[in-house]
Formats: sequence, C-alpha cells, structure tokens
Amino acid sequence: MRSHLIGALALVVLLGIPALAQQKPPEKPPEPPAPSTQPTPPATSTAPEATPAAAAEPAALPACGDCHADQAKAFAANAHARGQVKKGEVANALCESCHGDGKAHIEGGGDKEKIFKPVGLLGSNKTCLSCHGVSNDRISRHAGIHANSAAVNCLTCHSIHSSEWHAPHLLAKKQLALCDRCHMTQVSSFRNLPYAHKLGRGGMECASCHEPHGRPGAGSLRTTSAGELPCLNCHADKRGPFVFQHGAIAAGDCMTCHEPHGSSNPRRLKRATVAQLCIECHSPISGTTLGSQPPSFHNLSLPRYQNCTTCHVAIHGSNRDPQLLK
Amino acid sequence: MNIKRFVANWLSLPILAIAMTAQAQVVPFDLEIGYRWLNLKGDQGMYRTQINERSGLLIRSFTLATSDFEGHTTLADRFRIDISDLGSGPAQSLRMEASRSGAYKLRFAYRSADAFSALPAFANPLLSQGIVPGQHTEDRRRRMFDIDLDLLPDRAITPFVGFTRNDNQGPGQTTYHIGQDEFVLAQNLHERDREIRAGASFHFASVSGQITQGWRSFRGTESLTLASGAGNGNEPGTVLGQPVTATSITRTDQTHVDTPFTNAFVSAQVSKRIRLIGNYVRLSADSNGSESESAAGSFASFAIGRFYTGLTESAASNAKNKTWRGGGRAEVALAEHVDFLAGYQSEHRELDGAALINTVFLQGITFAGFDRKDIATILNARNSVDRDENVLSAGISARSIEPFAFRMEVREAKQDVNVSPDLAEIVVPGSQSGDFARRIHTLDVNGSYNHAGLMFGASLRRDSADEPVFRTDFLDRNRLRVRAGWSTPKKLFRTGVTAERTTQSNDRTGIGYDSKLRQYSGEVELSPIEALHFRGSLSQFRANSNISFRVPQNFNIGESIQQEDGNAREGGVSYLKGPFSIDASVSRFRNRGTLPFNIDRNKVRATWDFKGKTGIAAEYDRDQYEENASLGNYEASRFGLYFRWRP
Repeated sequence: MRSHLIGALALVVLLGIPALAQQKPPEKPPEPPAPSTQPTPPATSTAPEATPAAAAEPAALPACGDCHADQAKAFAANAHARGQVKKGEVANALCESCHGDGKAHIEGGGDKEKIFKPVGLLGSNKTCLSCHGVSNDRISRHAGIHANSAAVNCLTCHSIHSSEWHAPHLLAKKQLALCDRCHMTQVSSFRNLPYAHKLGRGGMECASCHEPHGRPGAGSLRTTSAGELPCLNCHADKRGPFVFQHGAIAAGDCMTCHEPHGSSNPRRLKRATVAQLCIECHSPISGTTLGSQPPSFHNLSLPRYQNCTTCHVAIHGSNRDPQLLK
Repeated sequence: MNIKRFVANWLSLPILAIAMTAQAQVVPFDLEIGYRWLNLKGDQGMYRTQINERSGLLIRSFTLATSDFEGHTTLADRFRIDISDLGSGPAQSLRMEASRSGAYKLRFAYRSADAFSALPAFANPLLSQGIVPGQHTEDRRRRMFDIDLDLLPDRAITPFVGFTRNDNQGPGQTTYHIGQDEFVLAQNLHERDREIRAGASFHFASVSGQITQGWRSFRGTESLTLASGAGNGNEPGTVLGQPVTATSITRTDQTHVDTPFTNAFVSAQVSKRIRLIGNYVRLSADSNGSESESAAGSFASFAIGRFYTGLTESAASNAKNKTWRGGGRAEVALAEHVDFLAGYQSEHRELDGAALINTVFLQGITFAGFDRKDIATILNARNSVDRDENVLSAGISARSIEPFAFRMEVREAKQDVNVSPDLAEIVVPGSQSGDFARRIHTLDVNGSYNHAGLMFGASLRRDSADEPVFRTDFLDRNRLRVRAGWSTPKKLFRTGVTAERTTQSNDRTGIGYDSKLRQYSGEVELSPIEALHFRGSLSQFRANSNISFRVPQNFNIGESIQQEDGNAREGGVSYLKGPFSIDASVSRFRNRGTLPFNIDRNKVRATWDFKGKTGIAAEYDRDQYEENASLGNYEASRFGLYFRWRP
C-alpha cells in the first residue's frame, strides 16, 4: 500500500514542481469574437458569483427572455443557469456570458448581426473551452479523434438551448442516435445483430466504454478506476487473478475472443462455433506461437467437441484445474 | 447535521421538487409509467437470451431536472433524476445527481441487467439427439450501485469519496467431466464485488491533477449439485465394460480477491504552449480460493489406472496480480489549434499463482480388478506470466485550417510476454510456455472537411508487426474508413455514408491467416415539413477469414473459414403535431454467413397528450428471428400502454 502512495506522490511532485515554480495566474479565457462589441467574459462554474448579477444591468434594457422565451424557459433545467434563474427569469448577464454584450443587439431591435453566436469549430470551441478546456489523463481532446476532426465540435453533440430532455449533459439527442450520425456501422451492429449489449436502455450507452472527448490510447476507451479495460467494470468475475489463467487473457484481452459491439454468434464470440474460435490458436503448427494442440480424442466431427466449453467450463481461468475443466 | 436530519433532507429532495409543481414555479419532469404485455411464439430460450423483455409493470422513463429551486431549498442548486425501464425491463437504470455550487456534487447510479442464456445449440453435446436447449444455461441478474461525492468542487482541493457495489447472482446449469463421463450440474452463483475509493482533485495555478486510492473486495461462491435425473451421464455405453454413473456430486467453490489500487495523474501547463501530463496506476490483486468436492457412484480414471466408487477433493489456491502503468505525454501548441503530441506509456504485469489440490479416489480397483483401496494424489502447481508493454507515440494535429482538419500519429508498441506453466501442459506438451516478443509499428492518419453542410472524412491506419504471439495476431493490418455527409439548412434533408475496410494477414508458414472486413452504410433523412420526418438506411457487412489449423482427430492440416454476409434495411417515419406524435420503423437484417439467420423488427410508438399535463403512450414491438436450424426461431410481440405526466 505504501509503495502505491509513494509512487503516486512522486509523480505528483516530479511534474508539479516545475510547473508550480512558474506560479503564473491562470490564463484569461479567450473572448468570443463578437462582431462589434466587447463581450462579457464567460461565466465559469468555479466562480458563479463572479458573473454579473441582473441588478448590474442597465434597467432600461428588456430581458433576453422577452424575445427568446423558449430558450429562457428551457434554462430552468440547464446546468449553466444554476442559482441564477430568479422567478423563472434568466438574467441577461447569463446569456451574455456566451453571446457577448447584447446591448447593440437589443437596441438594434434584435439585429442578428449584432450578437455573437458561437457556432462552428472555432466559435463553439472558443466559447465552450474557455471553461471546459480540460486536458488530463482521463480526458484529452488533443489525443482524441473528435477534437481533431472538422466534422465535430462541441455543438455537434451538445445543444445548449434545445437539448434532448431525456439525455443528460445537454446532449442534442440520445447517445445512440447521436453517435449513429458518424458511427453507423457500429450502431447498426448494436441494433441489428442478435447478440449485443442492450444500448439505449438501462443505463448502458456508447460512453459507458468510450470517452467521446478523447482519451489517449486506441478507441478512446474508458478504464476502470484501477486502470483496466471497461469490460471489467461490470464483469468483475473475469478480473481474476487465476492460478491457471487462459493465455488469451494473460497475453491478450477480452477482444481476443469477443466482439463488444455485437456479434452474429452466441456470447458475442468472433466465430460461429466455439471449437473454431479455439482451434485457430490451439494449432501450433509452426511451434512459435502461444497455444497448445488438443489431443486426438477431440474429434471435431462430433457435436461434443465442437463446443470446447462443454468441458472446459472455466475458460477465462481456474484456480483448481490446469485444463480449465472446473 | 445529525443522521436523521441528513437522511430526511435527502429523501425530501425529490418530494420537494415534485411538490413545487403545485406552487407558482414548475419543476419540469416527465414520467411514463404503465404495463407491457408479451406474446411469444417459438423458442423462449433464444428470445430471452437475445431480448428478454417481459410482461409487467414498467417505469418506461422518468426525468426530472432543474437548476432553479427558487430558494425552496438550500440543499441543492441543481438536481436531476433519470430512470429508464425500471420494473420488468431486462436492463434498468436510475441515475441521480444533486449538487450545490462550491459545496458538493453527489452522483448516484443504479443499474440492473439480466444475464440469461439458454441456447439450443451452444455448448450442447446432445444436439445431435435433438435435445435442446444446451446444458449450459444461466438466469442471473447483475445489480450495480455507484455513489460518488465530491466536496468543495472546483476549489483548489476537492476531496472525493466513492463506493461501488456489483452483485451477480442466480441459478444456472453446467456440465462437469468426471470419471470418464459428463454430468449435468445445477449451479447457484453469488458474486459480490465492492469498491471503496477516496482521494482528491487539486488545481493550483497551472497544475491540476487527481489522486485516488481504492480498495476492491470480490467474494464469489459457486455451489454445484448433480442435477435431477442426470446420474447416468451424457455418454452412452461403458468404459472397459463398466458403466459410469453418479449418485451424487457436490462442489462448493469460494473465491476471495482483495485489490488495493492507486490511480493518479497530473496535468501541468508549464508554459503558454506546453502542457505535460503524467499518469500512474498501480494495482495489486490477491486471490484466495478454496474448493471442496465430493462425488459418489461408479467412475473410471485413466490417470490412476483404476475404477473407483467416489472422490473427495479439496483445493487451496492463491494467485497474485501486480500491475503498474505509468507514462507521460506532452502537448505542444505550435500555433493556434495546431498541436504536436508525444507520449510514452509503460505497463508491467505479473501474474503468479499456486494451487495445492488433494484428491482421494475412494475404493480404487485396477482395471484388472485388484487393489481395492483409496488412492490419494496431490497436485502442487505454480504458474506465472510476466507481461511488459511499452508504447511510444508522436503526432501532430491541426484543427484550425477550416474547413479542413488533419491529424497524424506514429506509434511503436513493444510487447514482451513470458509464460511459465507448471503442470499446465494440457495432455499434449508444447506451446504452453516460453518468451514471446512482438513489436508493432502504427501509422494513423486522418483528415476531414466540413463546409456548407458538406462533410467528408477519411482515416487510414497501417500496422505492421514483426512476430505474432497468438496465431491470429496480424503481421500486417490496414484499415481505411471513409465518411461523407451532406445536410441542407434547417434540416430539410440529410444524407450520410460510411465505408470501412480492414484487412489483416499473417503469411507465416503453418499459419496463413487472412482476414477481410468490409462494412458499408448509408442513410437518408427527409423532413418536408417540420412535423414530418422520414428516414431510411442500408448497410452491408461482410467478413471473411481463413487460417490453417491442425485437425486434432487425424493431425491433418485443415482450414478454418469464417464468413459473414449481412445486410440491413431500415426505414421509419415520425410525425409530431400538437398533442399527437407517432414514430414507426421497420428493419430487416439478413445474414448469409457461417451462421445464417434473419431478423425482422417492427416498432411503433404513439403518444397523445391530453390537455395540460397528462397523456398516454402506446408502444408495439415485434421481433422475428429465424435461423437455418429453426431450433431457436421465435416471434415476439410486445405491447405497452403507458400513462404520461408532464407538468
């Protein structure tokens, strides 16, 4: 236990000291490029009290909600509005934290050219990332594919004013419909193949296993809190360790045998019969790979031997049988 | 705050939120609750394995979300509950979040998932005799609870604690090979996994990070008994003229695994353009197992060269897994939205296991009929696996050259595996142990274009490896993905296509592995008027793989061939006008691969909101599954009627 903590603390100190030595104040968030006015700095979740209160606004100006009633009403459930909606009224300052100073827009009778709209890759990223510009080991936009695509920006998936009511995190649609826009083949596997995780209902979504904002490593996979593959979050019994561990797991991972996105084969296996899956590794013809040869009484023409797990029931690993028979 | 008051406060939150609807301010929520009926024709086992939606009461959905309590509570300034399919659903969930700015953030999640399997052909040694389903079945449920509490969120130091409970239990059926026959056992499994974690996030000037210390505890108990009527075993006939039968078999396996773990990362903005990120994870799992088994009957063993009338066995085992992973990454901003990325990740894993297995074969007699006595055997085994992986990567990403974006990464991964099996030689020695090293070079390039509703993206990934560890490991792999889409303003029309082709091969002598995967999808959406929406899609999925293998029964060289040839057609329409909405869809999936099957799905959902806050929703789902063997065919219709309340 002590070695765990020492290792972690050493890492903190090693990386922390040079950065702390700089002791620079946090950079000022970039301001949205309002066309003609100086925008109000974006409100941050760290300091909601810093957002100008409604009382600070010019009394003569009407409220944004007077014209944009639907958006104002929807903000009652919006995390951006926490503690700032009074009697159903959205303070103008709240709108201005993303849209910039609205005075010219209001005075111009709602002139659309006189208000900043954070759209597109640069617009949305500049506005959203002034508060949400996270980059750490859990989330790395830079390492992820989404942030490095011209096709995806924050507002591709999130909708600040008209998010899907049943989807958390201000998502524009439910996750499966959202991801389907680009990842049609993967979503089609979940929808159509007979053996697949039940996505879209019951709490399991694409983001249960993948970090959509990016994460270092293949597939931007989330990990368990102990750093393992996300499969082991639910399938705790497969973690082991086992005395007699199946080599496919010891030197590979779950995807050596299973298709997590759905399969035509029972148990989401990669092959139609268990024997076919097993024998492809367990044929050491060249003798340089990991995987032993089944003995000759395994007559693959008989149904019994077409399913190796009929006998080798502890296929993921066993504590008491080297042949994984129990 | 005393405990009672704390609990009362929390219980009062949902009630308070609902009660507020009666007051001037309305807290938005949406509830659908009702009953679902199931009409099933055909194979119940296959239906339950694939879908498992049952008749019963159901909270189809519930969402309550607000950040505006109007001063009614000082406990939270944000609150959200989401419920999905709670009741008779095969996968159910409840999520709750409550928070107050600068004070705390609480998240609670409950998930439940049925794990049912009773397939006619899978692991069924008696399939040729027409006996279905197979003897490997399960009817279990997994329940998971997560609770996380962050204190003083977004402050310089944010302590947090969390707890996860994961229970998996229920009956099942399995087979057990003993005494030269195979017997069906009734199984009862209870697995309980607990995780407690605590730590802190910190943010000082330009340095932020998190450190988590956690403890996991897994307790598993599996009880097995000879199934009713299974005493004659699955194998007909005799062994050396003597029948093999069992009058009783009982076995209890217990496993305890304790796993402390540490997980930490630091992110430091060391200059305006450079960010360094370091991470470290370490876990140390210690597993202790005990088994007791007894069997009575008439058995044979070639290992001891005797018939025997019973067996008692006890086993004690211990296995350890020590894993650590650490690495660092640098993100250097070369220009605005142009970054250079480089990283190094190293992982080391040690698996060690030992088992002491004492077996007493009762009243053993030789095949010639002599030596009627007990025979004891002791198996003392020790195994180990060491695995190291080192990944070095570097890349560049450019996102600012609108409408284009570009990213390229090169990576080198080295894997070293050392396997030392002791007594794990499974009958035929060889290829159970040794040193295996593999080095993979990867080039990953992708680019995209997005302008005026037109989107195009392509990515290419090439991997080349020097050696395989498993026979199915590639030496060369190429993956090409192309995506394109076009949408008109105001969502009148949208179309998108994707194409993906992956090939991998290993042309080493004695392996000859070749695999091709091709997937193509296209979809169209049309909204001629705002209330009406049509959609349709086509997708095709083809996979071929072949690899040579040695046929066990005659040692000839054969070829394992796997094929998938599936195509899906989907279409749907939705109409939303005033208080009325309807959404209908039809899908057809055909697979002409190694395991041919057809799946037809039809869905209709209609809602009608009465004046104001209430309404009804009706759902109809029909799933028809057909396979060549027709053993698992089913047709399942579900009809649900739900009351809606949306203040």
